[in-house]
Amino acid sequence: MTLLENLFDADAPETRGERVQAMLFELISVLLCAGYAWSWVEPMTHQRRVVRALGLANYLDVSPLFDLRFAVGNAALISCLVAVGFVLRQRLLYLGAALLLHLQFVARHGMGKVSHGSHLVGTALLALGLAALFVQPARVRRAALGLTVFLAGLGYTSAAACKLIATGPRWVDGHNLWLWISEKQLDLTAQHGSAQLNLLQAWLMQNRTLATAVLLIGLSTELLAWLMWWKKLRPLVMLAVVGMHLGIQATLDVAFTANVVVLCTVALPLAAWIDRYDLRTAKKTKRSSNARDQVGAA
Amino acid sequence: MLLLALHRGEFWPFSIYPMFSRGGRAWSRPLVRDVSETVPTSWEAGALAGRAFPLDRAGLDQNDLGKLLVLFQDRLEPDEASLLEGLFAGVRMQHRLLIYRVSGRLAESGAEVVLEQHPILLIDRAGARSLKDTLR
Repeated sequence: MTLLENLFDADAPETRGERVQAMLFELISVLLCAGYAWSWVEPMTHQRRVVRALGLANYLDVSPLFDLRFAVGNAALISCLVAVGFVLRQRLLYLGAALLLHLQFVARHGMGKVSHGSHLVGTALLALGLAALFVQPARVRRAALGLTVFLAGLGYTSAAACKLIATGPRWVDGHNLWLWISEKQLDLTAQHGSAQLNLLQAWLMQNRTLATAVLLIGLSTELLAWLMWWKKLRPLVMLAVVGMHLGIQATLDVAFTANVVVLCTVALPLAAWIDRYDLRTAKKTKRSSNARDQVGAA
Repeated sequence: MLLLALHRGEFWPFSIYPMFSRGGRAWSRPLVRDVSETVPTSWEAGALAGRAFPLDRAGLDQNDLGKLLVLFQDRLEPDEASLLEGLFAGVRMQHRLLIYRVSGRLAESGAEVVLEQHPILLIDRAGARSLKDTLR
């Protein structure tokens, strides 16, 4: 099986289980995108100018979006586009939603700090839109899923490459984790007024070897994330990445909830479970129908 | 790839995901304190003055403030002051706020992380100004 077949499996007939799983992936992606669009509205209104231009903000003046009316209007438009796109299967509308969400993102993060929590759902939305543009309607969801998996694998592996390029193999030194944990504690104190180390963090701050082991596992997981491109390895690799996110949340209080939700939707073998259930139900129905026929014949 | 190459590795939803890539380096983050009831004579490094002021109360994000702090040098330019005044518009009429730059680094012994705090900015109904300007 080639890599393209592993990712897109274009010729195999789509089962009911695959359809349900792909629909769930699409629904979750559009809901999360609309959620992000609304969650950025309030912080956008605190801003007065773009400090560090990101993406299209390098070429367009996005400051009108700092006005509450425009920020709300853009979020509402994004929500309408994804809702109509999903309900009426007009997935080309996702491309418009992705463009507007890009503008919402660069306006929200115009202060300079980039948050990466929304990238994977944005990728999924864009993949659905691009698939609608280039692929037959019946194969759109599968193509979008494949493209999302490809870009997710590439993204995680590039994150590991960034670490190795910027710091080298010493990135896994437990001292680095100590510095990040203390930085996050200060951030939580500044944000909420107080913060306290949890049990795991307290343990890691006492034990450099353990901290090193945690970083080593995290880096290895990211480095090998591209293996999710292969269908057989996908559930295992994706669940390992989910585990890495849960580990990051426990050690650094950084939650990537949207990534975890999308990865679980793609990684869990929902399609296989549904197809197995269908097969069992069909066998039962056939057996009882045969029994009725025999009784009728007697 | 081209978009990422032309936009410093970030073009939503594409990214090279550079977070946490630089390990082992000292960090600097802001910490806001409410000094409305503190006599403004002892803005010194070391002890934190006043009471905690959670950014949640102003609807602000620590990450946004943190990035501004990186850009800020000793003197506050008028547009930087205006930016800070806009961020704290909802609270600066009722509170006098002191922003500290808190730095964290590994102790020379390598046994712990050492924190140091330096007051740098004051924000209140009169506006935002650097502490150096205030004490001149």
